[in-house]
Amino acid sequence: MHKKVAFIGSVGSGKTTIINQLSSIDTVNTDVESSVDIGKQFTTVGIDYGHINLGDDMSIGLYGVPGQKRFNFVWDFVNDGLWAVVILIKNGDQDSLSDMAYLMKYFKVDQNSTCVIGITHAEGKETDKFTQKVRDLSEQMEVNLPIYHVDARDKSSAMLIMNTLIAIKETQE
Amino acid sequence: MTELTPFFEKVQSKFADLKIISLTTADGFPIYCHINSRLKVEDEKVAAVSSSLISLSNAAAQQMMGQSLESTTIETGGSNMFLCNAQLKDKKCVLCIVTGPKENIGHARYFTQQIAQLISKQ
Repeated sequence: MHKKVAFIGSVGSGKTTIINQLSSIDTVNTDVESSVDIGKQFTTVGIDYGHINLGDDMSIGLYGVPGQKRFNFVWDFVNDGLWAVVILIKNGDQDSLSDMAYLMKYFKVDQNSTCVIGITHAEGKETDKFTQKVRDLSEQMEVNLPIYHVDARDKSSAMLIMNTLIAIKETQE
Repeated sequence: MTELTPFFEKVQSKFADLKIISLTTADGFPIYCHINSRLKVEDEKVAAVSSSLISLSNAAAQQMMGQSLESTTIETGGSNMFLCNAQLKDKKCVLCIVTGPKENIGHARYFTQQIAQLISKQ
């Protein structure tokens, strides 16, 4: 059984990084050098793809999309038939927070969705106020989703997201 | 628009049925774009789509075929799209050419690659 998980979030929130950590295969990577200042050297312009095997009968495809809105036609490619969605938000980044609401509407995330919010770039930084803002925005959107601080560069931290998605699904069944 | 405008206006004459010719940065910003006035598509959209398609094509060529991409062709009932990597002043770019039904596919594909090579010499 092959399931599909989309990683969505603003530019620089860690989508490509977390898929690289989680994937048990070499990822399909579509990063190119950015010609404008977006806070980092490379940006995704296609689809990142990775894969996790969970035993004999289940595998999960990991799909990362570009964070820039002008590539939203790529979002449509992964939006169909999703098993779960992971929303990554960059700690302290107001644009990332604004994009969260937009993305949740675009991907039709609601209380029935299998979805986890991961706040990245939180290591060694103050997080309480920003986390509260994320929580407040979720309430405005009328969803009550798990919110984690996650280090996209760390596999065990990234696996916490995946284990939570599986646990949510098991409670829904 | 760009110092390449005279160059692109000249190469358009090589095509019998040209609909779009576009040069884009690798991350999807337009450098030059000429769209046939009858088409309802924006140059920013052409740029973003071109960069996405070529990035996926590059990944497919490397990971599935173990070789560098030469070009990508998308065929429809009435038009064909040709994409290839290009280079402009040491910056990676994407060349996209869309032709209509009167254009010979082999001819268009050949000239797309020739134009990409000429761009790298600009």
